Amino acid sequence: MAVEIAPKPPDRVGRENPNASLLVQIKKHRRLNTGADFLLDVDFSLPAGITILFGPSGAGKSTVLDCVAGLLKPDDGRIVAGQRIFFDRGATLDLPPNRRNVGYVFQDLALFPHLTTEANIEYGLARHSSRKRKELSAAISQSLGISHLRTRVPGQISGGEKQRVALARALVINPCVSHPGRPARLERRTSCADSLRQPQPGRSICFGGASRIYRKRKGYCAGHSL
Amino acid sequence: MDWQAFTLTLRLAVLVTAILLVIGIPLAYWIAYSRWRWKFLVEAVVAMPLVLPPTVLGFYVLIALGSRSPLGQWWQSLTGHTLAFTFEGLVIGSVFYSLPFSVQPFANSFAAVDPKLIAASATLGASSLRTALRVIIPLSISGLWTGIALTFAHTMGEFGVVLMVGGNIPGVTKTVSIDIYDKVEAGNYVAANDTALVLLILSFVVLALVYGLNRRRLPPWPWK
Repeated sequence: MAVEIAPKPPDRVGRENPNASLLVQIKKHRRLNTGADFLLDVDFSLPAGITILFGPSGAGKSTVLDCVAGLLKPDDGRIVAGQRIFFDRGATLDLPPNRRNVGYVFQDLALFPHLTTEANIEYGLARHSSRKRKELSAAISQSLGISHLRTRVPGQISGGEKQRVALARALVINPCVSHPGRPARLERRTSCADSLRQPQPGRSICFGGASRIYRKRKGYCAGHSL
Repeated sequence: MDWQAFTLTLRLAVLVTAILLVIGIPLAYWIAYSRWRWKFLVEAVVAMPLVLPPTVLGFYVLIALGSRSPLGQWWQSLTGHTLAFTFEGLVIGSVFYSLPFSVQPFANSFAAVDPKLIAASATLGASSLRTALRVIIPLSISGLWTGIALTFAHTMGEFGVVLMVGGNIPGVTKTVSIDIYDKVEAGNYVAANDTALVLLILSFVVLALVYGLNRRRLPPWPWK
């Protein structure tokens, strides 16, 4: 994989993998704050399981993840998760983010400041009954060690606890693709790492913001360099 | 103190505030989030009562409500009388006149909600309506209170539009500010002072209450 600043790189043939859990073939042009043009041109497919996107700052890791989540619209290409097409420029298909079922942890976490941690975690479970919501939220809270924070609002908990609440909120919706934030921070907690190491069959977990050094140290097998 | 004028003004202010809450929230939401290129024209129309002389606004509302206008004729066929110089007409005129006092604080507070929270709500499967009801509106409570208080206080003290659209009919369109004007015209300064003082204190209390409440950035209770 490569990211090239203009001039535009030659088109590459997509390497479609029939067993891929996530296929990303996108082009996105962005204008940086510095005024320079930036063309992100990526084409990869991921197996189910953990994948780390790594690359230098400004390489486009977050742009890729934002496009997968539907927060940014690629200029061209397609994004397919399992059997579901998220985006296909050719077919003029662009699934809105609320219909993609992507568990996304924002860099600044974006917890709802007016909701208790329990209400934050249950936010994405609106389709379930109240009892089921409580059950799912209690289970994930327990596995991440945040059960005791149930009635507190994000302003009343520590930074590390906020991260775990954000992770719980993203994973409890049983997403088909999840972006659990930056791995180096979460990896420090064994419980977090354990819940992420057991992904649902056919689901992708995609980390962003990792460095090459991190990959070597932790020994993850799958990695995509941007 | 003319209690009839006072209760009529109170009724007008409560009704106008309630109507502007219903109309103002969707309009402010659209102003805050629409990307339509001509949106600024709508914003200008909404803000016009801030700079327009009340008599000008009142004049056009009077024409629009009169028996020759389609709206006036429709209302007349429905009720048997025109809208001009009635309480209903006064409500319509006041809604236009107080529009920016509700819509602008609402729109500013909606626009101030962190876009990341709106994006987070979307990635968690929430529709635009659910995001508005569960995230945007609860986080804009202070702006909503400001808009409600400004609309209420502004309608309580309205004069020009009321005089143009409603006239001065006791029990129907005679509001407190017109009552004060009447008393001053008659040279009854003591009675005018009684009423003016009530209006002054009421406006102060309403605004102090709102600014006091708005010192908290978030609602004082955690939302479930």
